[in-house]
Amino acid sequence: MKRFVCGILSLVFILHASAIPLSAGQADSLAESDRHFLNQVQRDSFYYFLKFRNPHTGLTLDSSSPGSPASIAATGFALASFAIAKGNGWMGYRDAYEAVEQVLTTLESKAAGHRGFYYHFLEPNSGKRAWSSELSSIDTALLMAGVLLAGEYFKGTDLYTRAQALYEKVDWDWMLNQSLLMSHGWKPSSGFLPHYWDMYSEHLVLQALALGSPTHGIPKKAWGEWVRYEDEFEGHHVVYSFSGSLFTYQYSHMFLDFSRLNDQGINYFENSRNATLANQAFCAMYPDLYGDGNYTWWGLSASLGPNGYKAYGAKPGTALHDGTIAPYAIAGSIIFTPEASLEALKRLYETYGNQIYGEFGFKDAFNVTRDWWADEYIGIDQGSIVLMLENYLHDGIIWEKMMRHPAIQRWMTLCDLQAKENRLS
Amino acid sequence: MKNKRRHFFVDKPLQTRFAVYVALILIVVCGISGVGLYYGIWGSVIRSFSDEQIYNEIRMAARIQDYEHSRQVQQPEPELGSLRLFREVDLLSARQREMLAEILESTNKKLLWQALFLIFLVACSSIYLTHKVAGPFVHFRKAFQAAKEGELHTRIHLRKHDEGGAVAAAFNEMIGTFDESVSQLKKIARETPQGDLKKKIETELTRFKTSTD
Repeated sequence: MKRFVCGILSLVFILHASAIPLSAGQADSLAESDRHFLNQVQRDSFYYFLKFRNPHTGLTLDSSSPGSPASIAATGFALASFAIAKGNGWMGYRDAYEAVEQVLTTLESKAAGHRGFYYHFLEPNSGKRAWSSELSSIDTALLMAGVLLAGEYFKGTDLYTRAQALYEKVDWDWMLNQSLLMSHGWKPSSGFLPHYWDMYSEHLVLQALALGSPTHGIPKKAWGEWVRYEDEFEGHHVVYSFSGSLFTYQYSHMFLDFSRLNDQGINYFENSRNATLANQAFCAMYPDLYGDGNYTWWGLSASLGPNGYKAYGAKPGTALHDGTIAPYAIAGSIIFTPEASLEALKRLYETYGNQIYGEFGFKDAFNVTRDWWADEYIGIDQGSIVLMLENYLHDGIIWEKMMRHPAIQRWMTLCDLQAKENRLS
Repeated sequence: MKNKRRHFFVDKPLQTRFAVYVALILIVVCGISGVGLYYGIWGSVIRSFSDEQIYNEIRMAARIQDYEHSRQVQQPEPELGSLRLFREVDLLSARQREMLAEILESTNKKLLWQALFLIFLVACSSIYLTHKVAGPFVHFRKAFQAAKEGELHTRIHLRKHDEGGAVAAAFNEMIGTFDESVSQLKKIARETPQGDLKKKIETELTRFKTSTD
């Protein structure tokens, strides 16, 4: 009997371990040159946050384009990046502490907001609302994820306490607008936007923070309210987002480790891996658009393009595409498809480095067939590269810090997300 | 009969000096106001509406519109570009209102500080100028008081650049005469025998004309 129980336990352990795509130390097998390359990309991308932060407020610019407003989501990624930079020795403890402190002070006293939420775009110098932007639920969530992560890196200091206070101030419940779905945002002139987070997308981190809030938590029912549409593309089964953009499968995963969580039989880490494979397969179906004779590029995600910023994506989803590839989406996929991402990044650097790689790492996007190369960096995309590479190169260090946060623990318990059978794998 | 002023330049050097002082203060005040207004108001307006800035704002309006659209992809893309153009113009107009509000607010703040500085400057200049007159007045009052109390050895000593030097000199000359006469009277009273005393005092007093003479 004892042997039988041990055998069952061993089997469960093996099955469970095999369902975890990124195990600790996965990047240990990297060749030294590859590790060096990824470190360089991560570090160069991080410098965006040093260069494009406002000296008076610490707010980070939305993009490197002249006249760009500050973006609260980019500021959240900047906070995370300063903490990472301290860990990696790119910034001294004092410099990183002061950089984080400056942003927290701005958020506490200057940045325009309401009920703990902040406006999507702010004036970099003053922190006032810019471009008549909305009080944004998802951007506030990304900001708060950065705030909490920075707090975790400076645990035991005043920053940790202040970070918690900022998070606890957010009135998530109000953003439900008396429903069970989170609104995209709110404007003083017109009230809540008529758009809701009603299907799978990047909003999982918003849900986690809202459900886990000790002060303004949303009801448990809200977690089950949004629809999990499922579809298959080239054998890859995906709970898909509307646009099929890769960033929708990545943003929440920068902060939260879904590899050990199951939601009603869905493992969102595995789901993102499937979505990434579907993205690669989708691009492979259009060699005229994505091939250059030597390699078929992949990485369809919201980015700049020859005709402006578009929510590019693959199937399943609306799959808007015109041959434009976002390097950040390739780097952001590294935890899901490490070999394919590393190969694509290396090829991109070696083949088109002169056009696409600059002072702050990979520029936002390119389109080989139209010979179009972005000459710009976008803050949230830079953050995506820095955070995902940090998780990959340092054994999921961000996940480790975030997953032990009481709010995240509360969300997991409330929504019963502990590991169970994964029907997607 | 009405006491009309016929000559406005009663002390030409003194009045000319004061006219120059006041003019200099006004030039400084106007200079600071002019520079402040240019950089505080017109500078911000010129910068905010420079060709480069307007180009950047137009680009950014298109970008923000793209961001909004990519967030709300469920909304169908307008078939005609006119709706998009309308939205971009709307964004741009809202942006320009924000910019004007920002300019007005920062201008008001700058003007407030500038006004406070100018008030402080004018107040300091006034104190400096009046000090050149008020100082001598204080000395005169003290000297008159001393003379009234019989201290005929008192004299007025003014600073080099103080006004009223001529008045002080005249006072000193006057009090000097009194001092000398009274000293003489005291000497006569001390040294002259009783019989000649009356005659000598009368001789000494003939120097003075009084209202009862």
